[in-house]
Amino acid sequence: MRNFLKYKKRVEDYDFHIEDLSENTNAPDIEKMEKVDKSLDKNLKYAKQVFHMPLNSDIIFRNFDITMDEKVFKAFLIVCDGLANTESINECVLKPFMYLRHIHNENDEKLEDFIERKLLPQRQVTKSEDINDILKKVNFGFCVLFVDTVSKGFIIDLKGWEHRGVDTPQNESIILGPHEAFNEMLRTNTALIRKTINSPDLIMEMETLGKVSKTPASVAYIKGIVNENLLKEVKYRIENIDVDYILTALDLEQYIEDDTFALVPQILSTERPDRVCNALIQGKIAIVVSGSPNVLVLPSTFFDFLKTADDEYLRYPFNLVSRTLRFTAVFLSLFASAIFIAIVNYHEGLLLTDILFSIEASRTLVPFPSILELILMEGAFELIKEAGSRIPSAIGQTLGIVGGLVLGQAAVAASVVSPIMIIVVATGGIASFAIPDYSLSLSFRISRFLYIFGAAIAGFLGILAILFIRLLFLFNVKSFGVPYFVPIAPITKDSSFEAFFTFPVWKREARPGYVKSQNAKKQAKISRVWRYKKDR
Amino acid sequence: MKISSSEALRLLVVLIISKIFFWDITKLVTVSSTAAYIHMIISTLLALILFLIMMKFYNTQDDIFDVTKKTFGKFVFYVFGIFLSVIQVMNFVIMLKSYCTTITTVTLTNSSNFFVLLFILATLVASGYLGIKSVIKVASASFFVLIFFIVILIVFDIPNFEVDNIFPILGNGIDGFKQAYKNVGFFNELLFLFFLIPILKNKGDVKKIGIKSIVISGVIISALTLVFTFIIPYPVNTRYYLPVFEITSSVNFFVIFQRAEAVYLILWLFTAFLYTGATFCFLLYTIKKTFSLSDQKALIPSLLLIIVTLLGLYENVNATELTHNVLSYTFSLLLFVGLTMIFAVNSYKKRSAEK
Repeated sequence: MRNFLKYKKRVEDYDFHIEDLSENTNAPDIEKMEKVDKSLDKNLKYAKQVFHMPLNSDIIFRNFDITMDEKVFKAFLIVCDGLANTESINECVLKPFMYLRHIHNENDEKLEDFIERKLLPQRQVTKSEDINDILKKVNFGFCVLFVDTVSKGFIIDLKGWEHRGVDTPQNESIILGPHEAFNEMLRTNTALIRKTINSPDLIMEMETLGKVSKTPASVAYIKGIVNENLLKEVKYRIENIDVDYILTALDLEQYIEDDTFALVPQILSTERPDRVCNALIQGKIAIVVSGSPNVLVLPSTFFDFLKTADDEYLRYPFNLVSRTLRFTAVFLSLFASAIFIAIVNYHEGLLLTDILFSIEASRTLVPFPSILELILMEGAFELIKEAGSRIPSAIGQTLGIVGGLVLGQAAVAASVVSPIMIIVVATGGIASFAIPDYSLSLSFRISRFLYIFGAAIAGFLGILAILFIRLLFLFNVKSFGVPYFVPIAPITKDSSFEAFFTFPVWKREARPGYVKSQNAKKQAKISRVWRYKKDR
Repeated sequence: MKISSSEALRLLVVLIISKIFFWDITKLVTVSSTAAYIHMIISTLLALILFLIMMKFYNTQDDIFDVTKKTFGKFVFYVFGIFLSVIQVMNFVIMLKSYCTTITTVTLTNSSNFFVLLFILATLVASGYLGIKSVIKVASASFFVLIFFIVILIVFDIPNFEVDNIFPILGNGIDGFKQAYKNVGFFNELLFLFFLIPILKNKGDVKKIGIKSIVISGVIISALTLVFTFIIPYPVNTRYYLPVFEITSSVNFFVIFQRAEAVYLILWLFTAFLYTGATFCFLLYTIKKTFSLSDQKALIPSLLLIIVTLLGLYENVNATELTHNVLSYTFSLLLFVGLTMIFAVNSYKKRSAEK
């Protein structure tokens, strides 16, 4: 009791704030080295400074001796624990050097050549004089080796970090067709493309992205088909990005696209190897970035974003129906809610009187104007979509039921919204899920609100005014020099029917005209020779 | 990027047929009663003949401004350019007044004209800044949709046709047909074909584009005139100021929709934006060429301000009728007589220079 009443001095609240230390940096300057020194101690000291040893716990420095012709040469290797294959380091580097104590340099070769040709049983070994370049490779899983009296360093490819295998696509699943998807490994992805295309003309040019990150990327194209001008432009843009880090393909997309502020995406991003292969065959270019399961395909038009991998595998009648449904979904996604608002508020005469009475009767108890009702429901729908993408799959279903019940049924029962409004919003929302490309569906989600706003203000006048202005802007968008809405705006030799509905596979003789391929024809006019051959 | 011949054709057809959404068909009916469609066919043929006569002298690949400058010198060029700018501005003001008043009357009865004008001004600003090529692309892309809707309207009106309404076949007789020359003004927008020449891919297709646009738009207007005559008998139909609106009102789309006025609105509003957007771009082009300006975008805000101010000159659409008629005849004279003279003199000068 006494202790309870006794005054206790309060401990001062813990107060932390970030101080601006940018003017008071006392970091010691690292003495810069450019080239590998013959003195191993100098190289070791520099390497430890660069990697801030002993702070970096996953960078391993291993000193050892190489004995050759009774002479002992000191050496050390640097690896990153977790990125390099430990077993391979032991088998391919340490064992050969440590166990082969009585090696004899019969031909009096230079030590560096002898080590490279006879002591390193690894398929990919390069030498370099640039010490900074060598040390950067450690961060990418390479093992680097320095030997006393040798003025070059060895870069040994012993990458072996943990990664996903080839999995099924997460966001582009189909019923018919292959179920492979890209993963985060560059070479796995390029291998998936190469094994499908199966042509020596398939070129995978290496590029590096980011001044510091040096993220490896491959620009894939088929020589003899791709337009060289387009290829030059792609490489020019990639090689002229002045930024420290580019980590994924989607970062790269934002750096090289034509118009950042256009609501529509201009570069297709896919996780399916078959889609990339189809695009390469058409004369397009793909960019594979290490660390990213998305591959960029360019140039891309509006109609490319409305295609799915299914389109290549479905028989033509089903393909036609599927594409028609998709275009209907585009229309509904954009205009369903706006048209409803325009009709209910401004153009009631369009509807049958009975339907009009039915709508009005359902809205009798709703205290809000129809536009506010619509915005409430659209907002709720968008919230459910956003929450749904972050919720763990275990309770995702529950959320769907709760969202449907609470926001739908309960809201109607409470006369907050009318049933017809839920139908309209749900129609538009479900239609937006029928759009294959996620980026394009996002752009439709934003555009839909513009049309709703126009409809609320002035009915069809507002919708059409906004549509007209949007079309003016959209028809000006380009993707690497290709107008976004080709072949309908501008009109080209390519068939508009093919853009909307496609042709049967045996009728797709020409590559798209807008890629200006070196070889415009990809199959003969009569590709089904068996139909017309007289002698079997 | 240059525009193709088919894109130019589609733009011209859209510009020419945009008038059908107003009272021009009623004027035909007033003159020729039940033979209004024949009147229109005669006007189309006349326009075609006059155009072919003009093209006989046309042997250049420059636009009308460069041709005038080369043929008549700078002074006449400036006079021509300023005159053309003034009549284009006045015509634009009248069309804008017509659109704002009729749209307000038909669809937004509780709003003022200025409210509708704001939407049109927004589309004008976008068209002006993005240029005629963007407008041409939109016109080209929406062309078949517009034609489809017109065909649908005609097809769904077939149950309402009364064959008796087109008798007597010759209507008011030859007296009516004699007035056909006055209605070549339907095709005044052909003048803009000679503005498009510098951006055409195939400059040699000018004649083909002109002929096709006259024929296609003539057929569409004649067809709609005929449908109007079939549905509403003369002289009752002379009281309808928006004949195509009346055509759509009598449509029953099965059980789902009772009336199709909204379809008319969609067609009308979209062609209104295309028409005003395109003519605004051509107006900017006229001023740019006349005064040799490097950039026309700076003109947009001030020009729109002038146009909005001039709108105040006319209290209502009826007040614009006299000016509209005068401007229509002026444009027709300029197109079919003025341009023919310019090309004839230019052709003569070229031949003399060659000799």
